[in-house]
Amino acid sequence: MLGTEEMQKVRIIALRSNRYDIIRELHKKGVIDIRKSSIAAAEDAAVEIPELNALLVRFRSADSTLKKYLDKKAQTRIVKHLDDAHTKAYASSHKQLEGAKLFEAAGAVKAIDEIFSLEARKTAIDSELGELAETKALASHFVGTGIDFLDLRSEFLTFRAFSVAKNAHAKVDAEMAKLKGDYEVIDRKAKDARMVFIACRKGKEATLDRLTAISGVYEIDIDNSRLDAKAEDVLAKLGKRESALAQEKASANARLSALAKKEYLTVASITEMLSVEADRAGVSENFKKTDYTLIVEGWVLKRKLDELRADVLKATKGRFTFETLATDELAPTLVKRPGFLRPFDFLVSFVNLPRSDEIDPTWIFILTFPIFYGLMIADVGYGVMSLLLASAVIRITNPDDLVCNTAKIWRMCSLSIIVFGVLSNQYFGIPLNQYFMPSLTLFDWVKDITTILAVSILMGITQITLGLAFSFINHYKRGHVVLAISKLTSIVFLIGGTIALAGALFGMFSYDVSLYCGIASIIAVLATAAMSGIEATEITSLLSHPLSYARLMGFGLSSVMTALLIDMAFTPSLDSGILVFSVTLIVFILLHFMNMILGIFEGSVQAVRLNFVEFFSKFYEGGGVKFSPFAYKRRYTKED
Amino acid sequence: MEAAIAAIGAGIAILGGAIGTAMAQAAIGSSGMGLVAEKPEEFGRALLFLVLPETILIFAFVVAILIMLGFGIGI
Repeated sequence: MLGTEEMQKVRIIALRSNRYDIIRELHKKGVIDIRKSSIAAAEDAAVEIPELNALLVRFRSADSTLKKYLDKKAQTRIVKHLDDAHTKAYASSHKQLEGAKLFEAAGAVKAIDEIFSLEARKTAIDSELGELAETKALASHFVGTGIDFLDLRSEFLTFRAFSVAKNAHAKVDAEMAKLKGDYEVIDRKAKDARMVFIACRKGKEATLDRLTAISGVYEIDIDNSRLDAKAEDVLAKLGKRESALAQEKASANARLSALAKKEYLTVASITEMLSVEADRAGVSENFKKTDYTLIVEGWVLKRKLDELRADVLKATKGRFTFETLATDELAPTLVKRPGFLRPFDFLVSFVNLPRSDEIDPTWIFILTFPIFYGLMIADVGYGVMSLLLASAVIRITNPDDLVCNTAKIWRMCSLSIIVFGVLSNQYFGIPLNQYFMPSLTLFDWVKDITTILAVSILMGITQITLGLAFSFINHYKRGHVVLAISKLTSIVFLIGGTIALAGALFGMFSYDVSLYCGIASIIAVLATAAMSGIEATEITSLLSHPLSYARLMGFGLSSVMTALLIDMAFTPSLDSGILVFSVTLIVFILLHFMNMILGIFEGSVQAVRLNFVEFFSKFYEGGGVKFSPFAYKRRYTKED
Repeated sequence: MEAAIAAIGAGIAILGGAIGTAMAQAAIGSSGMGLVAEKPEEFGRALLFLVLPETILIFAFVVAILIMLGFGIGI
């Protein structure tokens, strides 16, 4: 149960004439992780089908374009993979097409050209709208000046415009008084500021730069190519063009939405079929070949070996050899886990993927994480709030997303928070069990600190002992007998030492039991040191790591105490009037919400940490290679 | 009087642990941010390293609790 899927390396040798049939069967089955063969033979090459690649690029591009125009319901279904019954129904009636038939089906999708042309037109419209917006902004500076910009076009003169703020009027007037001969000044009042137009002979512009040095004056570039009439007329013309373009864009959007509604599944299914064909065409580069034969090697799920052999037999009509290979190579890892527990794999992958020849620690993580997390937050109110929030997040996010997976773990662990909340009689920090089921209260955070501390450390000792036991199994399976036995002596030290200390310091065991356990513990240390120097250095961690589990009590207590303080200070009461009641209610809810968020963050980080640092370090190596089967995850089509 | 001194002792234990943890986390946190800026996929590991020194505070907390319980100081 704690292992990963068993793998077997196989070698299939078949006739090259059956190449496509074999590839298709292997791809359909999806149970082989193809690797390059170790046989000294020529390498095969990927099958080049240029038309296939070109078509695939076109369809992928059309697919991603149409996706943007799906309505909200279809978006939820297709993009977020939620409420997927419609897509499944479509897939069940669309079989994979191959070769000429697939090209024919792709060619029949006439909407592709229209999609690209509409997209191209929309891009052009957006670019023109951008330019129009810039011109409008420019023209709006000159509204009210009465200047016709057609008059400002000359071969011999340069025209410049300056916006002058009120505080700069005097300085500008002084500067303008100095301009003589080569300059003509037109002083106008624009909508928002004074606007000064100056015409000068070409080559005499430098003098005007003095104006821009005055604070409150800035020059506006008169772009005659954009402005060809009075500002008001330009704005009116631009407005008309803008609304025409907006209308054209809206109709392009409407057409794309209609195409998305009508054609999306067709485009997506053809894209999927083309991707499958591309996968199959490209895989040959992992094969070896002779003049007439083809050699395929890879890792197969052991439980699927016979099925695969039967499929290859069918594809080759019996003309093949199917060998199982004995190898020292590390098999790829595929974890065995029900779907609803998969999100936990993501958390363990923070550390590393388990090797295929070691115990998969995720199961223990799945069991202990909710316990640690629940104990550290332990409040029915927070548990219910977590449950509702997590369920809401799951509803609106893509199931494959990191956020959704995290929310799934959060939702599962909310139940643990509720259970520990009931057991510790905490409902937003208020004890309520006495009103309906007093016997449900198992412990009290304030009165039973010592017990909770002892239980926390005991949990640590149990988990670390389990870690050492797993390490024993891993080393024993790999033939490291001495190292394996040193793990057993470490266990004796840990348990013996705990009993001896509990007896000597707290009187939990009799003198004799404590003494014998103490002696056994010392002998175990010496034996461990004699067997493995490395293991001996780990002895100190056997003392500190169980103590580290005291954080379960520490964080739990701090969360409960904060809730109690919030209740003491901000429990709303109608006696103090409706206004004070409303304000204290809001503060009460906000503070509890903050305490819950803090608890969730700290609780999850600490629960993860106890597993990763204290538990995994005892046995887990990781560094496995993920099993990646030669397969395609279909959504819109089914196998033929 | 004994209880008061014990309570001060518990406070000192927590203070020392907290300062030690803060110093360690300051160094690890800034390095961790550097790591995450370069490799966002290492966020999980950076977070894990960041919380490692909290053990120091936990030990301090255990010591403080033991002092308080030893002198019969309740919460």
